[in-house]
Amino acid sequence: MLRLQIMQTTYFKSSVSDGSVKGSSDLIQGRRGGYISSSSKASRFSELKTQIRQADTARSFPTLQIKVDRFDIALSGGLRFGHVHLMTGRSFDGAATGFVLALLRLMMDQDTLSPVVWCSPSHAGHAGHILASALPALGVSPSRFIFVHEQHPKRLMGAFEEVLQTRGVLAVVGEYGLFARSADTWQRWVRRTRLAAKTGGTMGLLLGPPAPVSGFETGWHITTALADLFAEREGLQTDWRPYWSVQLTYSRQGTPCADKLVYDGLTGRLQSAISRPDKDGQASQLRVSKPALLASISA
Amino acid sequence: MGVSGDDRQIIYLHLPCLPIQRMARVQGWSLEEKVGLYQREKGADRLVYLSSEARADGVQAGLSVADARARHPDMCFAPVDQNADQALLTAFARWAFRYSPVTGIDADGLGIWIEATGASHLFAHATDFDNIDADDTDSGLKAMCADLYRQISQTGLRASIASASTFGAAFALAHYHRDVSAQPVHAPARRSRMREALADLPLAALRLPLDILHALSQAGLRQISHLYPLGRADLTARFGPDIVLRYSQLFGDQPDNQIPVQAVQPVSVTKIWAEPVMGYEALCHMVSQLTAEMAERLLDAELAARSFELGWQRTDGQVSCLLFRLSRPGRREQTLQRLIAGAAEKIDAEFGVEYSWIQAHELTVDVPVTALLGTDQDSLQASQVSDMVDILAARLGPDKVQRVVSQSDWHIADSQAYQPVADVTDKTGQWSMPVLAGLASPRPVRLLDRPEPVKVVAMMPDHPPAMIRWRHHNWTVLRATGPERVGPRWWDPNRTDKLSRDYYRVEVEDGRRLWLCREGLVERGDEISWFIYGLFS
Repeated sequence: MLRLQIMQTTYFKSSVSDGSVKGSSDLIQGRRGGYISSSSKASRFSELKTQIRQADTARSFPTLQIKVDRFDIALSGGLRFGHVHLMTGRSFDGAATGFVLALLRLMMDQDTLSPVVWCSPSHAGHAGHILASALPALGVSPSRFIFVHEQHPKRLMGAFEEVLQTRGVLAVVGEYGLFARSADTWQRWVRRTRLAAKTGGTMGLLLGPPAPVSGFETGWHITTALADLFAEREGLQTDWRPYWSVQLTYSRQGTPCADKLVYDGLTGRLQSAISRPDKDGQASQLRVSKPALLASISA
Repeated sequence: MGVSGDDRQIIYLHLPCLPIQRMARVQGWSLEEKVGLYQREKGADRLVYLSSEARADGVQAGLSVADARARHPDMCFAPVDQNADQALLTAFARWAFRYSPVTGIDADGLGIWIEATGASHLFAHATDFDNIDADDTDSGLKAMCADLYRQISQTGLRASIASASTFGAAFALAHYHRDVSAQPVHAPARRSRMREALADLPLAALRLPLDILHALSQAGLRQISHLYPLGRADLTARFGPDIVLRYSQLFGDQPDNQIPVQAVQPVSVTKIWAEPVMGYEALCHMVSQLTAEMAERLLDAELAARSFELGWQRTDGQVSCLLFRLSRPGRREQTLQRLIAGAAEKIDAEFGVEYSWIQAHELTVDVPVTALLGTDQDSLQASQVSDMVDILAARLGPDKVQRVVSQSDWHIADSQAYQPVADVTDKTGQWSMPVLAGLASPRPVRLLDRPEPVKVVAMMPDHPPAMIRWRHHNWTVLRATGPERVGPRWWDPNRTDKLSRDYYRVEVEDGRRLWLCREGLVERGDEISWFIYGLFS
């Protein structure tokens, strides 16, 4: 509603003030008889976008920097708290879960007290459930988690919404499973979670199979990536660090982006693992740092 | 307890092993072990309480811990926790409200006392209360003591019970009578006979300081009967006024003021409705009204409650109730309203509710948060998180909102346990964070609900898999690590039915990392089967 109001106001102002410009080939006739040049139209759109952005971020939430430049730039600064982000992955793959845990690790490093709530079905069949014993190796303490286990999808997603409204929770992760199958229910629920997240200022991370991204702040698709090409070159056959192909498919305030990341559980760092073209356009040799563990041993 | 008289009846319950048994349970020690509790005295840790095994082995109270450890390397030691012991005694005293409304603790003497005056006849076997006489009262006291002894013995605690007409006499008999550990001892009410019963007890039964006891011992006074022929003026002149005061209190000549434990009064709100309440809105209003009044009552009483019972009686006489539980004691109206918000939907009013109530349970004296922590942002947010947990627990069930605790078990499925948030304390199942993450055993981030069988091609039977087929997917394995062998528990009587498992972490052609296990040992000729158990990140 606020956005519509601003657009109407801006349009009205433009059409009145630029009424004197006439006769040029790049002139466009306004509704009230005024003409706008295409260049000034572009500048006004840009101005309009800025105003919308300012109105949207009137209540500013902090951001979480992923510390991978490419993504931080694409996200206009980082992942925003007070919003819900969609993290999807493919079946029989733990990459999306791992990436969510890596993000939680980044948050936990900044806030050492607040708990994380993980809402998941009691039985997830072949999708599996999160294994707490695996978390310490990723640098995440299971003691920080509150688990909500509920088999009924609506009740589970209701719990997710309830947690989103709560201040003092670092983040809430929801495993939606097949809840996204019904488009109507999904869209209604997405709108509600967006409002709930703004109330509580908590970051919501939805984890599951590919689903419509409309209504979310960002949408991601994460899959595991092969590590052997890089490991062989560096002689690191024993490198079992997670390698992920991470795609930022949608960002409401940024641009899509994709990269291949490697995660080090010891340091909690996400690092790009793809070769970058040099300034002269040639691909530079791939630079993957040794895992922190091996580096510390060799030192 | 300031009034003396032959009609009074005091029961003293002595729990000599309470600190030892409490600590053994906390630490998970066996009661058969040698245990010593120490506290700092004169610059050294000295033993104060000892288990019977330790005493039998010649360890004595007052010995320094260093010496005791040198002589008995297998002995267990822990510091005395007086606050915890006192809290347990207070809990016992509150539990004893079932016998009498006036009870108290004797922290120094490790016991509790029960004022049985006027209450003992309720335990007499006489069913006709009009015919109760002095003998019935006496038999009631004995029955009360026997029941108390039985109840305490069932908990596994060692107890000595004595009854007398004064606190001092009951204390003396419970601590020092030779038969008291086997059965309750009762002092006669008549003074002359009570003198006889107490005559053989040592002077330590008078609760005197050690220096006076030492002086009395040097003077050849060792038993209470030794004081009978002596004049009180002589005793005061020689040993001070304390001994005469205790001696007088022993026979009820002086008041012996003991402070009773304060009973926490139950808080409940009841409403009898003029007309039957029915319909969703009316029921919502009823619940809201009860909750608001309960919050007000708790605020007035400066109490907080952990669980609430909302009950109602229908016009056809059927009584039902709902239980709600908080993760920590609370009393804020807003919290209670949100906790009990969905109750109206669950009330089957049929033809209407004519009587409803709400009761608060597990009451504690509420200490305002502001007094301890201040109203800073952290404490406010922690309170909001607690409220959220309570609401989810009320909505989904307490067993659906959980924390995960670590279990020391190599079997992956048993290495963690989910517990309701309310049951998890800071010290339960702490997780150790590895300093070098890569050195930890590889564990998948997602574990399947149950291992699923897969078809596997391996170069040799005991080699890692080279190809996998699972759920219509064919994957070529690029690399694998393992095996990590986990065998059945040797102490498990059913271990012969279970096979050892070799776990492998494999990476397949499209980058997926899977956790596979081979059940059965090739070298032993077991039948081999492969399962997929988890997904790595």
